Amino acid sequence: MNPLPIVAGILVVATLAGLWRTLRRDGRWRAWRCIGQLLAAGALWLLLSPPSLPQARVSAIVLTPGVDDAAIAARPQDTLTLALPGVAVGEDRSIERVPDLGTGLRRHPQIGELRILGDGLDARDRDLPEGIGIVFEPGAPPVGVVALEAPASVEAGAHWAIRGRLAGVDKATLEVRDPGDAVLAMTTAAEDGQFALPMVAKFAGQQDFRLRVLDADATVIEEIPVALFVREGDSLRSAIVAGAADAELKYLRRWALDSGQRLSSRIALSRGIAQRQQAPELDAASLAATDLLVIDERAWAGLSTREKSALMTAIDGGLGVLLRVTGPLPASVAADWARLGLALESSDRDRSVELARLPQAGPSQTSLTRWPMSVDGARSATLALAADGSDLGRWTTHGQGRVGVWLLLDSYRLQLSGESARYGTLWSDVFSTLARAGGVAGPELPDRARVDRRSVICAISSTARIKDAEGGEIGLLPEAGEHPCAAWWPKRPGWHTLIDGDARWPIFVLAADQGRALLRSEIREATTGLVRQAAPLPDVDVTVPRGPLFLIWLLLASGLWWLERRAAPMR
Amino acid sequence: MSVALLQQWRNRVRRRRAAIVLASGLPVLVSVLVVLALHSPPAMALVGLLLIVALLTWQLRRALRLIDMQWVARRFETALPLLEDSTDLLLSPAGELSPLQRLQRERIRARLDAVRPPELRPPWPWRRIALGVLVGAVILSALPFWPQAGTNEETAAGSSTTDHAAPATATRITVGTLEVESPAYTGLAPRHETGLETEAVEGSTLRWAIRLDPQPKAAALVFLDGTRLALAEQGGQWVAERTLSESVLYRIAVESPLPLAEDRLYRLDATVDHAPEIRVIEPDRTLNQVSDGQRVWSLDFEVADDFGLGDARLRLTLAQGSGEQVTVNERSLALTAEQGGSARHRRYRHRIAIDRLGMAAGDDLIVRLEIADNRQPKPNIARSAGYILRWPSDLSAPSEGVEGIVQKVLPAYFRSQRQIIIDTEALIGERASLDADAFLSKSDSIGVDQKILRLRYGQFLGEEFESGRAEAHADEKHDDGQEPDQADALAGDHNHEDGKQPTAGFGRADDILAEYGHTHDHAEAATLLDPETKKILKSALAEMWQAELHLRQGAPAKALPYENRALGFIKQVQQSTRIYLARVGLELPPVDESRRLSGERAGLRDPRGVLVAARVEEQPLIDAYKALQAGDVPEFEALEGWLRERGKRLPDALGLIAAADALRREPACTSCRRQLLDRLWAALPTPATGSRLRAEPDALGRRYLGLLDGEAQP
Repeated sequence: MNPLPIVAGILVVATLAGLWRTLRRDGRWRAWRCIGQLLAAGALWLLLSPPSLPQARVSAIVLTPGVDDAAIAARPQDTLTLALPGVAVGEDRSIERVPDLGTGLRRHPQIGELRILGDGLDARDRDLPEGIGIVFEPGAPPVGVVALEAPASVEAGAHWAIRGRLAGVDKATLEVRDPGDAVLAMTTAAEDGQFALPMVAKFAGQQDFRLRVLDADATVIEEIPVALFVREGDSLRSAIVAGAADAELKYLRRWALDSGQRLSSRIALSRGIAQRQQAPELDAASLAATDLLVIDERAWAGLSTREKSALMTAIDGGLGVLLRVTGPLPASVAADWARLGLALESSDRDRSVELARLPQAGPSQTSLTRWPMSVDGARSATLALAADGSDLGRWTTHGQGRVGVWLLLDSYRLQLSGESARYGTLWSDVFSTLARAGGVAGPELPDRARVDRRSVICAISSTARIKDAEGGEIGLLPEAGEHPCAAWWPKRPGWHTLIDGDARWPIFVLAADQGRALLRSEIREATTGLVRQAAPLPDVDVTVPRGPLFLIWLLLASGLWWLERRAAPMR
Repeated sequence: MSVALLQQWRNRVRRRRAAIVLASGLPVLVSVLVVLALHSPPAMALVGLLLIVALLTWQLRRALRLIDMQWVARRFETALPLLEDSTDLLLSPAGELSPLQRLQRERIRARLDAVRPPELRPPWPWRRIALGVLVGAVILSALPFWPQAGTNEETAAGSSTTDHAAPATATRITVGTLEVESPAYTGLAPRHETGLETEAVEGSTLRWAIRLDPQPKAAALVFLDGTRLALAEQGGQWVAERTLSESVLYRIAVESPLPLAEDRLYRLDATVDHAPEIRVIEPDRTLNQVSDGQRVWSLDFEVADDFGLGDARLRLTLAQGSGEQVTVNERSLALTAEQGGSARHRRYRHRIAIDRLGMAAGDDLIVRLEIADNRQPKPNIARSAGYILRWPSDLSAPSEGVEGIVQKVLPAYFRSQRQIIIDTEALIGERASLDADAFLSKSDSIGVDQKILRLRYGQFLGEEFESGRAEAHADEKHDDGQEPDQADALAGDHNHEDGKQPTAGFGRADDILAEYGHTHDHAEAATLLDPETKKILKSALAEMWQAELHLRQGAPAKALPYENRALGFIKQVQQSTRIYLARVGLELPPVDESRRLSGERAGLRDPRGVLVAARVEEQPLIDAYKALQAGDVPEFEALEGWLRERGKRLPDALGLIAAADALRREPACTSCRRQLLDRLWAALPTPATGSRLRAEPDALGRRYLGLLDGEAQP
């Protein structure tokens, strides 16, 4: 209930009573006293409910953490200045401290433009009203790793890389140390600060590496934990059917078996003679129990009509097939494959290729051979790239399944030249892309969780909870809907486990003081994205401050008191 | 008279007040002081004492400051009205008073002497004093239960006899020291180490001195390899002595009802005395041609060792003649080092007068430096590679047009098989005149030559060169402040850059492969020789193996037939004086002419040979790692057994064993678990890359794929 009407009523009644009393009794200066009472009552009313006056928009300076003292001193002194938490402003009375930017804007609705000094606005302060112009004048740039990219999880034995950008350190060396404190990889940052450290994932489990930045004098500038969850590969059911034995198959079968696949293979050697290992039958039942079939054109040419139709049905049902080209394609095979969506044509491309510089690793010097054919690119996607950007294989979908064609003849040379992790990564990518879908989509985990900062976890059920290393548990409250997300403020650094039903997903949390430069540069980037012109905003009504009103009322009241006092002795 | 009375009362009051202050304050302060003295460092007790004295002094001053003659006089006046407020007059000197005052003074004095003086002393504050005594008594009676924090070990040990009444629950190692006496030849001073772990040169004598509390009946050191070294008691100390021959872990076993408080593994690291390292400065290549008019051949060697160098000898082998008419004569001469070298780092220069040796055109002179260090009992001997000075005979140019594919091989060292036979025969002849050890060592050195020869031939067959120096990781251990090792000495500086190079084990084998291009171990990759020659060479190598085996065992007579057979095979190779570089790597098996084109398929079967998953040797490590990651307890026996047997090639097997042992003893210790995990991680092999099943599409995705396919159909 609004108390103002009541207050107004009381005030009117009191004033009327006062006037009546003054007029009824004799005394000097009655008229003046009446006028005085009316004025005092008016002033009291204004004091109780101050009026609003339209005011033009002004610009304000916002000091954010990371601002230097020189910038604070150099700002125009007459401008409204707000300091956010984390800024040391000392005893400067001209700077107003606010707990967050929203509070500042509420206290000063006339602000039409913000000049932000320092590192910028934290997530808390980034939701700003429409129309307010934002100017960002960042202070000294952060020193250290300002961008960092590393996968949260990889398969055991695969190539991975820590990549990022370094700022403010000359002739810096970066090294990755393993849990046992041995140096695993070392590099120097490029001119623009970019760096990449290739690594090979070892065994399944949660592993903590440390990225260490050393300057030219080998002093440690920064150390950031890089946590990696290495997954064990899924046990694929793969089948290899080949028309002849070759070195490629020797190494491919070896890799498939060693990486835990359930492999069956049939390599024809002569009419009726084949090298068999749990010889795959190409009928509906056994194909349904296979995730990926690797077949070459010679074996394809020897398939019966029944086998072909079983294969087609199986592909529609989700089977993955890799078609290896090892020689000239017979017309009938080419026609079959074109029906699968992969129309191959002979071309005069270079036979000799090098593998594309994997994003995870350095260039490979091993020269490999490709069968010179090209695939219609309109309905297919690249399976693997050569260094010159041409493709070594393409894939497309057919029904629920995927079909790929592979033109590389001698990837085994990678094994011979000692690049076995690279060989594994190459084939693992191919197998993972094509094989039958059967995995579980995991939740969307935060890129980089940090102590006391908001992280968002999506695609979880309502019973999901997070367990920390000490065994403490916290439940998550996902909002209802198609894509349930929940926010989480980690309290402790280190490994946590997201438990959703029977599934477990590890999450690593950085301590608040780890990777400061990274955090600062993230905030700066986000703030730079906010910069915008001020829209022409209408004037706002700003409430007149109560202080002067009180003074006016006090003057009137004391004048009245003096008047009444002078009048009193007459009675 | 009466002034004296006042003085007397003043003193009495002062004494009483001081006594009250002391009686009420002292019990508490003294008990606090006792606690400080017993339970804190002496410095703290001293500070406490000073503080207490200062506090007391201040209290006393405060109590006594006001008590003077004036105060006593006023008190008399208050207590005795008959003094008429005139006691002051007594205190003033008589000469300054007016006659009236003097009169009054006399009156007052008389009265004062007549009356019984009042009791001015304050009464004893019995309650306060009792309270102080009570608090002091409480503090003192709490003394035995006072926490031991802040006491260091020496005071605890010192006072343990006096007031440590609690019964011991475990045998504690109060003092453990190791005296390390390095072998005399190293020149290292004996040192004394507190603690039971150390790192010492191989062959050092270690002396333990351990104090145990309470004294057990017997104690022993139990080493990881199962040996037990009993500790003997000597004047309250348990002592033992052992020579360190290899790195080892041990624990202390006590025969006592009380188990050891900290029963853990201790580690002794033996640093290996390496063989001297030779750097050849001149000649700069293995094969040198005599230039026109050359009279002398100058040699320049730089040698470094970790603990001091012994004698150096230069071995000269002059091979004269060609083909099978080669005569070899060998001599050796002692070299003297250049001035200015140290015991650890020397330089040898020598000039060989070619013609004085009797060298002529067509001859080869092979030199080799042999240098020993001072290691006891058996010195390490390092030999440089052989350097050949060849006086070319009239060179026969190879046939025209085939330079590219014909390569003259079989250089001078191929003759050495004959030399080995000659040496062996000579050794058999000398047998009677040599003692057993010398005989064995000579035979062994011929065996080494045989091995080198075998390895050189092996290279032609694509075998890996096994240089057999298992000291790859020795360099990782040296820290600053230790003895500079020979690599530093050779490099001429002492610039340690530990941890700069990626030293980790994993991926290393692959890196080396990647660096040097291609693998030799794949038999297909060696394409230097045609299959026929290869086969003969292989037979020669097999014979050399056997010869080496017997030579190494000190049975040159048994080795001789193998040596001869090897020579026979080599001759066969030599007779085909050139080898052809095969251009293709594939050699198809010979065609069975009898069945060729006959269409005969009888007896054809599927070939056998099913691929089996590779057996990972490190399986116990992997199992243990997985168990630890899952939070379970790993199988310690399997892990330790594997480490003991196969762990030699791991960089730090002992560390792993110690970490496993620590966790085994304390399964709840999280940091031990973490440490074992980290150490295991470093030792794990890199597995083959795994693949992933992509996520199953949801209903919408499946429908999309179905529609996509329908659309693609024309």
